[in-house]
Amino acid sequence: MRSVFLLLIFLVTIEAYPQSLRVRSVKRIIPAVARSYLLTGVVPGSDQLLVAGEGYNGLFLLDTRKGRMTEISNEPGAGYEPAVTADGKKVFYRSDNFNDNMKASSVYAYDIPTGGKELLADRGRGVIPPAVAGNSVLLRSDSETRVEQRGATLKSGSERIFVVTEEMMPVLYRGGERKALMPNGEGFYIWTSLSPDRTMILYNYQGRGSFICDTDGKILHDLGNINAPRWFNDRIVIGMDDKDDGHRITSSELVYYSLGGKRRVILTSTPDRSEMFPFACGNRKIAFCTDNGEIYLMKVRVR
Amino acid sequence: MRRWKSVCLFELLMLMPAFLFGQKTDFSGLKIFVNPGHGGHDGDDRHMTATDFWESEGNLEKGLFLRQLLEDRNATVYMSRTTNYTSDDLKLSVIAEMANTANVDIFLSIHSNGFDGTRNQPLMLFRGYDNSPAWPAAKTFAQILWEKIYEKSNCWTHTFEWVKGDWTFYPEWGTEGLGVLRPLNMPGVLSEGSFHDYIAEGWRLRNPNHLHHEAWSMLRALQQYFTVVPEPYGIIAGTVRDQLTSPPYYFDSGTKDQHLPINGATVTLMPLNMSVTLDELNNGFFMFDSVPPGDYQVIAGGMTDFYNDTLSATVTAGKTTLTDFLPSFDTARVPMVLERLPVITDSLPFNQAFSFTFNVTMDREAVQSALLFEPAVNLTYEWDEKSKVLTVRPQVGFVSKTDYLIRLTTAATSKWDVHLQQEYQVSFITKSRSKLVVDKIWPSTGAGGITLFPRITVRFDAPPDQASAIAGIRLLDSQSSPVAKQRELFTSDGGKGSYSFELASPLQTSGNYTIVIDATVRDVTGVTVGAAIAATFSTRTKAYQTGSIVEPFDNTVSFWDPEASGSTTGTDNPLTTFTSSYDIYKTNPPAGRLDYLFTGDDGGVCRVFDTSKPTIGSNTSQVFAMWVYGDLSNNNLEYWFYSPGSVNQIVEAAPINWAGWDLIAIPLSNIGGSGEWQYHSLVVRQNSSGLKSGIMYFDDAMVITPTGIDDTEASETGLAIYPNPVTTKGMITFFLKSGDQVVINLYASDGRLAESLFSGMLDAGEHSIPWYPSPAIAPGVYTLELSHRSGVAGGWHHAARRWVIMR
Repeated sequence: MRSVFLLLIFLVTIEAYPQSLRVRSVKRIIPAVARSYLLTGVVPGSDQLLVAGEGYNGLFLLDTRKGRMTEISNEPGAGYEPAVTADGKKVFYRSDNFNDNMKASSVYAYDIPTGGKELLADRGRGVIPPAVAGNSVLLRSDSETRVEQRGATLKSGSERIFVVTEEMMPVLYRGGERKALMPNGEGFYIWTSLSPDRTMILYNYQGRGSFICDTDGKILHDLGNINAPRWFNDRIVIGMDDKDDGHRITSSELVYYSLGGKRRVILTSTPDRSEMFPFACGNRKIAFCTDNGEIYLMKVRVR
Repeated sequence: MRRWKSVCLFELLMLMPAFLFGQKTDFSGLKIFVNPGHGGHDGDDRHMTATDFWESEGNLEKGLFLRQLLEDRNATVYMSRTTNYTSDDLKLSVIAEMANTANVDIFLSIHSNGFDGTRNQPLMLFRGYDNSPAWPAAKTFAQILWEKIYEKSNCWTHTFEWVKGDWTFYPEWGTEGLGVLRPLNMPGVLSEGSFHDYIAEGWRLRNPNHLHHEAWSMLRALQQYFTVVPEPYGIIAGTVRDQLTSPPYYFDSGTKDQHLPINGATVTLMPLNMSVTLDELNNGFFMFDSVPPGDYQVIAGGMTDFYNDTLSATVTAGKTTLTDFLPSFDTARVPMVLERLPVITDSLPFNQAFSFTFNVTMDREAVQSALLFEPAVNLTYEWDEKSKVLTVRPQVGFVSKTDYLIRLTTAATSKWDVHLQQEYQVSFITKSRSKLVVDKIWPSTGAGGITLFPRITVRFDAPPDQASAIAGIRLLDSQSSPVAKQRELFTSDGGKGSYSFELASPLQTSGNYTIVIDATVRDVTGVTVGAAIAATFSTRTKAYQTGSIVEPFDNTVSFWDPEASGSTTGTDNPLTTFTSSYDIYKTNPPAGRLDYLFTGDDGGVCRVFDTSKPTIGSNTSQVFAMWVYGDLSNNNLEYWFYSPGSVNQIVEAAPINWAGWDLIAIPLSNIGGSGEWQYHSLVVRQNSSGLKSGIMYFDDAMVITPTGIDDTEASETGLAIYPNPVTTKGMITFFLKSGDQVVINLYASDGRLAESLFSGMLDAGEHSIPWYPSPAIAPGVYTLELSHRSGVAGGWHHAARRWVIMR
């Protein structure tokens, strides 16, 4: 009886504190329209990925089972950092227009079930990519800041916490509060994101490495050399270890960091393929693209 | 006051187009990302040996100046780096994400280019194919930028507009393209402003004003692209050059670069009365920026050998007016001896050389006829390329303990037939000389591992008498039997002499041989060695391995002359050549023959570029080797390779401290970068203690797969691995006799690098390194290789163990 109890404790601990990933399989997704793509997001609770064309121009839904493509937008920049609501029904994205080569950005909401599109903000300067928390979205530009609810309110009390990057530093929006954070001091903060449980902020500090801080800006984890970091879940961060010669990407492997194990592990070892820009796809898959624009889906074992 | 009103009126007029045609008055509200490429003097930085130019420095100087120009005009500028340390060498993905996060309107990556040393032109790259750019505006900006950079200089070797999509330009990369442009969410351009390996341009890139000039061009391009009113001022830029002298490095005939730049001149702009003094970095470049439109006089002066020169220049707003000086030489100057070396005149050696430095270019024949030694001496003469420094040596040697008088009569003239005003005289005394001194024997006594194809060489402090040397110098085998000689050779240089010979058949491995010099061997004046000398050496212990030949050196056409190979510097070009040799070769005729002559005492580089650029693979367990006929010069031999992307990788092959044929090998793991390497050049780099001239031969470059594992070496390091097989954790232990650079790699059975376990310095003593096999490493049999060497220049030693990985 005691053994069974200990085993139960052990299994519960594994599930509650997953610490490692192991590759089970990798499958290439062949989009119906052959071209070079950048992976730019996933749609929760579905088999669909968000992909963009060269230069993040255009935004498409890619069905991972059949490779079917659905165009959301063909506008410049539409594929950069789109955000999807937790219910998987709405995609918010920023698109760019250039007047005298000066960028002016608009924000749209795309309804996945109906294909309908709604203009939320028209041609502004300093428009940052929309940020989503639950089913609400933060819209931010030089001229305004507003939060809109676009779906059912989730039970989680922390739903309306957002993290965006403004003037190259992480900024936390919580209720009516705006808090600029500089955990590592002044510098470029990129690839910022909030953990799924909304208690931690992941970011890369001007290429010197990735870190995790709490919502007060206190550094909790130094992840080391991980680029394009994304949350796999609350305990694991995935990203890439890319290398270049100053002109060309010479190699890139997927890596992960276990918060519990406090270690960085190389997930792939494929000299012939440069895996880049991974996203968690559910709790057992990772989607990524390659430096030559191919899209892949990887199944992983979580322990 | 009148001038002030004129300036105000002028500025008002210049701003009129902004009001009339909707131009922006400045960059207010615009965001621009500036990325100075590379960074940190290591990793992927490009360093040009000939000019000591670092691309990371040039890119940063341009970028910082451009930022200043833009911020002065109210732009918001972001930079990926503002310093030049290793930590500034950010990943391309990071740089692109910085620009994306900054949400800028345009991205500009600043670089300079390199190819083969013969090309200099701007190249602009954007994302996509030539006619299908990912961002059409990027191509538009690239075209504008190319035009602005092109028009600011007249030292280009090519004139066509070179604006390319990266997918078109790098077809072998498929749709990967340039890593920094791919993830950008705005138009981006990578500017290769000029070619840093075109030596004349490389020297200009050392001049901050030249770099700033390129930044001005970038500003002009951004003004046109964003419809910002152009600069109301212009630039006067140009060079000061010696029309009579060509540079000692490759240049494109017909361009300004065919004239040697003049260092240290002063250029003055009138009536603004602004002056600049040119640097000493062999570029002759000057620039006056922010000059109001109008007519000016530009005066070049302050030159030792040249008359002042004045040129007119008309400045146009937003443009560069190029003004190049070729000042006339002061032909009426009276020649004189500025310096004589050595200064001392007592107890000089029998083969003492004397050098005379003149204030003007001299008539060589007139000077040589006017230079008299009493008592008479037969001399050898050597001039510098400007005919201003003459070095003379006695052909045979001065007589022991004798008073000499040197006279340079007034018959000596300058190149323009102006005579010395008075005779120049100096006397000296030689010291006594009792014996012929042996300066060097190769192989030296006690030497081991000597090639089986040596050229036995004995150097003396005077030219030896040939008959006595042939009879009195020989090689004996371990049975004291003489080994037959062939190709005996006598040389003399700098008052010294040498005798060398090859052997009629290869020596035996692990053999002991003795060079014997009889006491009767004498020099040309009859002075003998005095006592017999013997030097015993041993040969290498292993037979030579062969491999897959990638360059047989059979087609001379595929090799470029050192002068045209880029990076070559400090050589006498007519006397430095690469040709075919049908008399000396290793396997089949011909071999490549390199004759080189360095003009300075140090820093010369002689490169032979192989246009066939054979691919040598990527297997780091293999070895690259070629047969090299050494000349015992004590210069350094280097092999140069390209890693993917034509990134130059330099590997020190060996100090040239042998004579005759030897197989000079380097492990592929010593080559920087990764992926498929290409061999592209052999280089002789001058050493300050090396000979200034020599002849070398090259044959059969090959890639060798080493056979077996060197267990002897393994026992020296005591390399051990356990457990074997290994599952989750292994341990590597070894011992180092000295503090060494250590690399530990794991190779798959096909030679592929499976994992790099360690790279760095370790102290002397026992070491234990744990290893956790990555889940990505498949079960199987692997080879773990430990490589170590002391210092950067030391040779690598390798030890290996087979390791079975199980799951």
